Amino acid sequence: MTSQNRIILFCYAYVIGIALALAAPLDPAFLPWLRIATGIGFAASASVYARRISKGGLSSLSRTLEIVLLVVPALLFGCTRYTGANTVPDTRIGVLRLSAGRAGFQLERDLPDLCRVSIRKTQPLKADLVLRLQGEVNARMPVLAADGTVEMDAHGRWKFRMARLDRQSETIIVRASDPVGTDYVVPQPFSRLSKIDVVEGPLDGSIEIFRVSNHISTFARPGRDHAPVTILGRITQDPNVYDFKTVLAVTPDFVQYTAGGPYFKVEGGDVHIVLKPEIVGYEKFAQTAAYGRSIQAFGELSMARAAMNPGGFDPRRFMQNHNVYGVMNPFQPRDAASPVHMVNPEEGPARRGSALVRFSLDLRDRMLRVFKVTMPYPQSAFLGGVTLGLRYGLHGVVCLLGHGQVRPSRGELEEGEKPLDLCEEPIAEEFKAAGVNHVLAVSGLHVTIITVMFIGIFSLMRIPRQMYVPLIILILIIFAIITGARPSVLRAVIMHGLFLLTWAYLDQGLRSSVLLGVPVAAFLILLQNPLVIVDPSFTLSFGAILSLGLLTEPASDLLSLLRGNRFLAFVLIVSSATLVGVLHWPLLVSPSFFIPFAILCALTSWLLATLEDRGIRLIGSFGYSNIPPMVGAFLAAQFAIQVGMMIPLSAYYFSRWPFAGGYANLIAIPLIGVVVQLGAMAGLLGLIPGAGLYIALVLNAANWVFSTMFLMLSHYFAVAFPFPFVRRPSIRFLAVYYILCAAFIWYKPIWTSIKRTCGRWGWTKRWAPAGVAAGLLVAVTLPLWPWGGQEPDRSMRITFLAMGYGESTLIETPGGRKILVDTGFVEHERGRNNDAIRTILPFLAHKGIRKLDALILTSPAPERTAGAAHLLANCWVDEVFVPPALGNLSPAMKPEEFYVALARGESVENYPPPWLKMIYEEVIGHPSLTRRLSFAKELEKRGPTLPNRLAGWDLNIRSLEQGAVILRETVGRGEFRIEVLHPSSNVIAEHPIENGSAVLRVVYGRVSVLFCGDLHFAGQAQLASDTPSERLRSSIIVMPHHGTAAPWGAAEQTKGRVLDRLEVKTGRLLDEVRPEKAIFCYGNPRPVLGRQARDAERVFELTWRYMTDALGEDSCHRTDRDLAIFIESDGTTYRISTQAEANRAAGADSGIEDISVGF
Amino acid sequence: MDKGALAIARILIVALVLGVAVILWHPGYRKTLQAVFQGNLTASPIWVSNEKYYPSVDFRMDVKDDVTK
Repeated sequence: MTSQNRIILFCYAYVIGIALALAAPLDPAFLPWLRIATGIGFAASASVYARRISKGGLSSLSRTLEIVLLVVPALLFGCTRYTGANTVPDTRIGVLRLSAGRAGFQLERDLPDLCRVSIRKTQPLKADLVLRLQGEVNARMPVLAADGTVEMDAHGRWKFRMARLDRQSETIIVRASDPVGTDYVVPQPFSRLSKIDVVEGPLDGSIEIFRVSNHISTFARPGRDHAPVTILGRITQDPNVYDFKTVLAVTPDFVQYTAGGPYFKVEGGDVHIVLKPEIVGYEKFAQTAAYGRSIQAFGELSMARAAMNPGGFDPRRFMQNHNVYGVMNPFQPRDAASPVHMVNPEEGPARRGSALVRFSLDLRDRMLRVFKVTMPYPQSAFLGGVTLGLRYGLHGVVCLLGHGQVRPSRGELEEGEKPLDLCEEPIAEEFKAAGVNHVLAVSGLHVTIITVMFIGIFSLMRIPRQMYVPLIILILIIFAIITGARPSVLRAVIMHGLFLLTWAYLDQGLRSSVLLGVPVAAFLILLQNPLVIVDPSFTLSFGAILSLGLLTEPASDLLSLLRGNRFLAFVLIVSSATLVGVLHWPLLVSPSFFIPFAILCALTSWLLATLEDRGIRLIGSFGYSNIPPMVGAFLAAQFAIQVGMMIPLSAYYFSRWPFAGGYANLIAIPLIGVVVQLGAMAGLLGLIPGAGLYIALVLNAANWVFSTMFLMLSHYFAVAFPFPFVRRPSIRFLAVYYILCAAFIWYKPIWTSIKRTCGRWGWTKRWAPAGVAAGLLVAVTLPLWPWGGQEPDRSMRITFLAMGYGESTLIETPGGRKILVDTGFVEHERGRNNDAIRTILPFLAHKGIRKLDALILTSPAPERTAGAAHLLANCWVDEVFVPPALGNLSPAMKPEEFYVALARGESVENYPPPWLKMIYEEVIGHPSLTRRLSFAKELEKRGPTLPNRLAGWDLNIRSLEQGAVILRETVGRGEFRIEVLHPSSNVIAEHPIENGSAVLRVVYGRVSVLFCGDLHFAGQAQLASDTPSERLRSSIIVMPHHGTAAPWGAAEQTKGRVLDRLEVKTGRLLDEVRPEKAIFCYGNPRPVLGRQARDAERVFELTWRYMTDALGEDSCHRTDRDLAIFIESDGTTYRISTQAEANRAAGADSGIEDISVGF
Repeated sequence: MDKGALAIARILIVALVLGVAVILWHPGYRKTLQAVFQGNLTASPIWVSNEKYYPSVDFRMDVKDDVTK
C-alpha cells in the first residue's frame, strides 16, 4: 500500500469513527479508556510500520495487520475526539467513606482554581447523610478603574487581588430516598477542600466529591430572568454587523457569577454577546476594528433556545457545534453607564488579534469600500456576499423588482392607481427557491474561481508555477479568513492547497490530488472541531465535491450512450416532465399522473428506438457526444450534483427541493465565475492609489450588468419554478440511496464481478446476471419496504405548535387522519417570519405528512389565517372548514363587503382599521401588491379542474355550522369525533369577529379537548349558556384568544374589569367545562398587535394567574414557556408532555441552579 | 493553464469595453465618475445608495478608534 493510500485510509477511518460516535453516543465516563486504547493502537501501528521499514516489506498476514492497525486506531481516535468534544466532564477529586460510623475523607486531587463542587451519591444509603464541607477560598477580586471597568496590566492580563478566606459550606443533605447517581451542587465555591464534617448519617456508605468544570456552559442558564453575570474576555471573530444588532463572538477569560462576588477562570467555550444600537458605545463594537479587543460585558447569560417544535431548527445544538455555549443580551438602562466596555492595557497598545486575521479583515473592508464606491445598492450587497462572504449585508434585502419602491398605502386602490407587480421576496429566499443559494455560501466554487484567476494572472506574467503557488496558497488562506473560515471554505482551501503543491512540485494531475485532498481536508476540519460533521456547511460541501468527483464520469458515460432517436427521447422526456412540473408540480408527483406518464415515456422511447433500428433517424446521429465538450462536461457535473447532493441532502436539511436548481445553475455558475473574478479584480485594483479607482469603476460598471443579470435570473427562476416541500428522508433511506449511488458509480466492476460469479456457479443463461443484479437491488432496498403495513396505533395525538402569538395545532386521529387547526401568522415586514413556511410545513415534512385530510380555520384573525394561503400552495388538503364569516370568499371582494361578512352584519367601527385591513389582505388579497398570496386566491386555484382532480389537488370547502359533527371515526376504545359548538346564529355585537369564531370539541372515548377559538367574554358567556353542559364538559380546555380576551374598549381594560369578567364569564364557562388541564397558545403579541401588545400582555398575566389559581400551576401549560405541547390519548386516559421536557431529558437544559458565591 | 490565462484576458477586455459603455449610458455612473475625478466620493449617487450598507466601512476607516485610557 502506498503512503498516499495509507493517508487516505486513515483519514476516512477517522471520519467514520466520528460518525459512529454520533450514531451511537458513548458514555463520557469511558473517555479515559478510549484515550488509552487509541494510544495503544497508534503505538502498535507505529511498531508494525517501523518493522516494515526495517525489513523492507511484510508478509501478507503482516500487511493485513498493518491495515487493521491503521484503521482501528483511527476509528478510536475519531470516537474519542467526538465524545470528548461533546462533553464537559466533572472531575472526581475525592471520596468520603463511612465505616462503622467513622467518616474518612480522602482527597485525591487538589482543586486547580476557585470552582464549584458537587457531591454524588454513588451507593444506596440507609439514612440521610448530613454534612458540611470545609476549606478555603482564594477569591479573585478585580482591580477596578474609575469607570468601573476591570483594569489590565501592561501585558494585557486582567488585574485581580487575591483574597484568602476560610470557608464552610452550608449543610448538604444526601437523602436516602434519592436515587444513586444524584448530584448535589454545593452552593459555596472552594479553592481548596480540607475536610468534610459529617453532622449525621448512616453507619456505612460512601459518596464522591466532584469538581464542577468551569466551562462557560456551566454558567449559562436556560430561559431568561435570572441574575446577570460579568464576563471578561476577547472578541475572537469579526463582529457580525446587522442593521438592527451586532453579534460579537467572545472567548471568555473570567466570569463573575454574582455581583460583588469572585471571578471564576473560564476553562473553555465561547459566548455570543448581542448588542443593540441603543447600547452606549455601540459604534465601537459594530466594526471590524473590534476584532481581537478585550471586552467587559454585564448581562444575563442564557443558553440559546433549543428546538421549539419537533423537527424544528435547534439553535442551541447549532451553536454548540460551533463551540458557542451561551448568549448574553446586555441591557442599557436609561441614564446609566454602558453594560459593555472595550478595555485596554494600562500601558502600551490595545490587545488585538492575530496579525494575519487583522490584515485580512482590513483588506476586506478596503475592498468593500471600493465596492460601495463603484457599484450601487443592492448589487453591491450581492457582490459583497459572493466575493467577500458578507451574507449579513443581504439580510432583508428585497428582490430588485420590489427594491426601493415606495410602499403602497394599505387600502383600496386610489383613483388612477394601478396595481403594482412588486416582488416582496427577499433576495436570499429567491436564491434558495432557484437553487442558486450556494453562491452565497462561499465554498469550493469561489475558491476555484479565485485560484484559476490568480493562476491565469501569474501565467500571463510568465512566472514559474513553483514560485507563485505558495503565494496563491497564502491568498487562499487570506480569502478563507475574509469569508469567515466556514467548513465549506476550509475544505476547498485545503484541497486546492494540496492540489497546487502536488501539481507544482510533484507534477501530479488533478484527479490524484482530489482523491487525497477530500479525506485530508475532512480530517483536518474534523480534527479541529468534530462537531461540525452534522453542520450543513460541512456535509453539503463534501457531498458536492464527492458527487462531482465520483458521479460525473459514470453520468457522462451514461449520457454518451444517448445519440440519435434515443437522445431525442431523453430530451423530450426531460422537457415534458419539466413543463408539467412548472405548470402544475403536484400533478408531476401524483401517482395518477406519474404512472401513466412513465408508461408514455417508456412507449415513446421504445418507439423512437425501434425507428432508429429501422434506419429512421429523426435527428441523424446527433447525441450527447456532439455537444461541445465543456458544455457536455458541465451537464454531467450538474447531473452528478443533483443526484449526489441536492436531491437527498436538500430534502434532509431543508425539507424542500429547488426544482429550478438543475436549470438555473447552467447559467448561474458560469455567470458567478465572471461576477466573482471581476469583483475580486476591481476590489484589489481599486486599492491602487490614483488610477486604481478608475479601473475599478470601469470593471464594476460591467460587473453591475452581470450582477443584475444574476439577480433577475434567480428571480425569474424562483417565480417560474416550484420550490416544493418534500418528505424529510430518514437516515435509513439516505443510507440505501447512497448505496445505490455507489452501485451506479462502480457499476462496471460490479457487473463484471456478477458475470464472473454466475460463470463460476454455472449459471449460463443470458438473463442470469441481470437476475442476480435484480436480486441484489431488492436486497439493498429491503429496509425501505413497508413490512406488514403499519396500522395506526389507535391513539389520538394533538400537537400545539409553539409559534409565538401565531396558533396552529395538528390533530392525528386514531384512524390515522391528519387535521390541522389554524395556520399561524405571516409577518411581511421586519422579521418577515412566516409561520407556515418556517414552522408548520417543515413540521409536517418531519412527520412525513404530505396530505392533510382537513384544514380547519376557526377564526379570521391574522394569527390563525395568514398562513393558510402558503399552506394551500404547498400541501395537499382534502377539505377546508371555515367559520361562517369566511364563507363565500372571492378575490374580487371589496373591503366593505368583506367586513360586513366578517362581522356577520354587525358594525366593525370599534376595530382598529389597520387590523381589519390586515385580515382583508391575508384573506382576500392586497389591493396593490398583486403577487402576494391570499387565502381566497389559493382557494380559487384549488378548484375542480382536470389537472387538480388528477393530482388530488382539488379540495372541498365547507362551513362550520353549529351542531355539526365534521369528522367521526369508530376505532378501538370508542368513538372519535370533532363537534362544532359555536358560532351560533345569534350574532354578538361586542367583538363580533372574535365572538363569531368556531369552537370545536374533539372527543375520543372518555377524553375530550375543547378548542375555544378566539371567543371574548361575551362569546364565552353565550357558549356557556347556549350549550348543554354535557356537550361542553371536557378534560382539557384550550384557552380562548390565547388567554388575552379583554373587555371591549381600552377604558374597560383595567385590572379590575378584566378580573371581574374572568370571574363572571370565563368562570361560568369553566364551571360548565370543568377542565382538568388548560393550554395557552401564547407568545410575543407585538408582531400581530403592534401598540396593543402591551395591553394583551397584561391581560394574559391576569388570565394565567386566574387559571393557575383555579386548576393549579402544574395543570396549566403555555407554549411560550413549554414550547410545543403534546397530548396523547388512548380514549381512556391521556398524557400531556412538552417539547421543553423533551429538551431537558436530552440534557439540553442542564444548567446549574442558583448558587451562592458572595461573601 | 494558458487557456485559463487567455479566458481571463478575454473577460477583462470585454469587461473594460462594457464598463465604459455602462458609464457613458448610466447617469449614476457618470456622476460617480465625476465625483471620483473631483475627489468628492461622498457626493456620488452610488455611494449615497450604499449609505446603510455596512455603514462602519466608510472613509473614516483610517482613524484610530477611541481608547478607554
